[in-house]
Amino acid sequence: MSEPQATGDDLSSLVTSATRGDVQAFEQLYARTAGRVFAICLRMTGDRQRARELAHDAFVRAWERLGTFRGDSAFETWLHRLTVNVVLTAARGERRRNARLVSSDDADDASSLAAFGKPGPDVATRVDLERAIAALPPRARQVFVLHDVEGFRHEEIADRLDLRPGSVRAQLHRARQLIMRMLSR
Amino acid sequence: MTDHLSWETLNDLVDGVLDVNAAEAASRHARGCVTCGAALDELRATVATARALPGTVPPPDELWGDIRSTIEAGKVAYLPPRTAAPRGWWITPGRLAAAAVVLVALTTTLTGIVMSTRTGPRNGTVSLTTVAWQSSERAFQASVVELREQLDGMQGQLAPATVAKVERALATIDLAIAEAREALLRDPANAALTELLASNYRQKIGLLRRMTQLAS
Repeated sequence: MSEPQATGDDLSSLVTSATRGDVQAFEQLYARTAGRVFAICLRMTGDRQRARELAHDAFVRAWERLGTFRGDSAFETWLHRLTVNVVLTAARGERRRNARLVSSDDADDASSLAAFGKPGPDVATRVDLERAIAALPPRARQVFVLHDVEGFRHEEIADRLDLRPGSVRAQLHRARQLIMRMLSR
Repeated sequence: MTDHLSWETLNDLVDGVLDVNAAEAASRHARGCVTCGAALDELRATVATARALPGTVPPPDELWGDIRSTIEAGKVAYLPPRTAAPRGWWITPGRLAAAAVVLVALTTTLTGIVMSTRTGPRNGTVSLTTVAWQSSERAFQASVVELREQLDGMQGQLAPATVAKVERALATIDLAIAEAREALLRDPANAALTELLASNYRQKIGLLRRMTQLAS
């Protein structure tokens, strides 16, 4: 699904309408942001079904909390951070869950992964990397995705995951090492 | 060369967190050492690929429909989104504790009334399935967990007596939630019970939110 491009003003007026209870305006916000929200959920969990549930919860939460959006940041930034919070809050309650994104016979997920990028010579590399990310241990995966994919800083990650910055660094280095090993196989 | 750069140093070099002198020394070593140079190149390529991953992944087609159903159910089951009130001058520990007592009384009374009448779905309301109310409940529970975590991080900023009163009120609301939930499992399409469950959750979330505001 390609997401329609929207200016800040467009989004702002949609947010205003949605805050007043306009579900159609919220649907337009969804159409413009769902791919990003789902990508965060999928990469953070490594599990497509779980990602679907969490993306659902993130949008329901966003709907409930639209009134708290003050416009201090871009709506997308607010929504992405809310999504990360939803994922991490859920992860705290299911630490022992051993979810994995792609098994060798999971054709649905494989086709989804293939749709990550536009056709090009590096699609195979991207798909391999997505598979490797999904195969990481949960904590290492969360840190890797937040730092190397989403661009969060060590301190922010430490705060959200309730870890020391040194532990975040260690998890990040471990994640990269595991990924490079998987990619070199 | 025998003293290769450590994995940590290579990562710190890529992330730009080494100080200038350490970064220069590490870069110089990597240029002159085939092993470290190759490791550094490979690491940089991996990080660059991760940073270049597409920002979007197409969600399942039916996702919006499910979200819409939950939201529509919410229009019946719980209040429309509200603007979060800033912490008001009126929030004091005494008033919070008093509000908690009033809440408990209301919750208990309302639960008793609905449980005894057990009305069916009202005309014009959305017919709620088990999936719908359980989905709504999950959203409520996520809010409760988040507020609880915030409060746990603010321990010691409220008077123990206030905390004790509010915790008792929360326990009573939890009982009401459990009762309504149990009844809903037996009668999942009952709109009045759904509203009651949502109302109890709203009260719990409202109370937790006020405690968070008071403690912040």
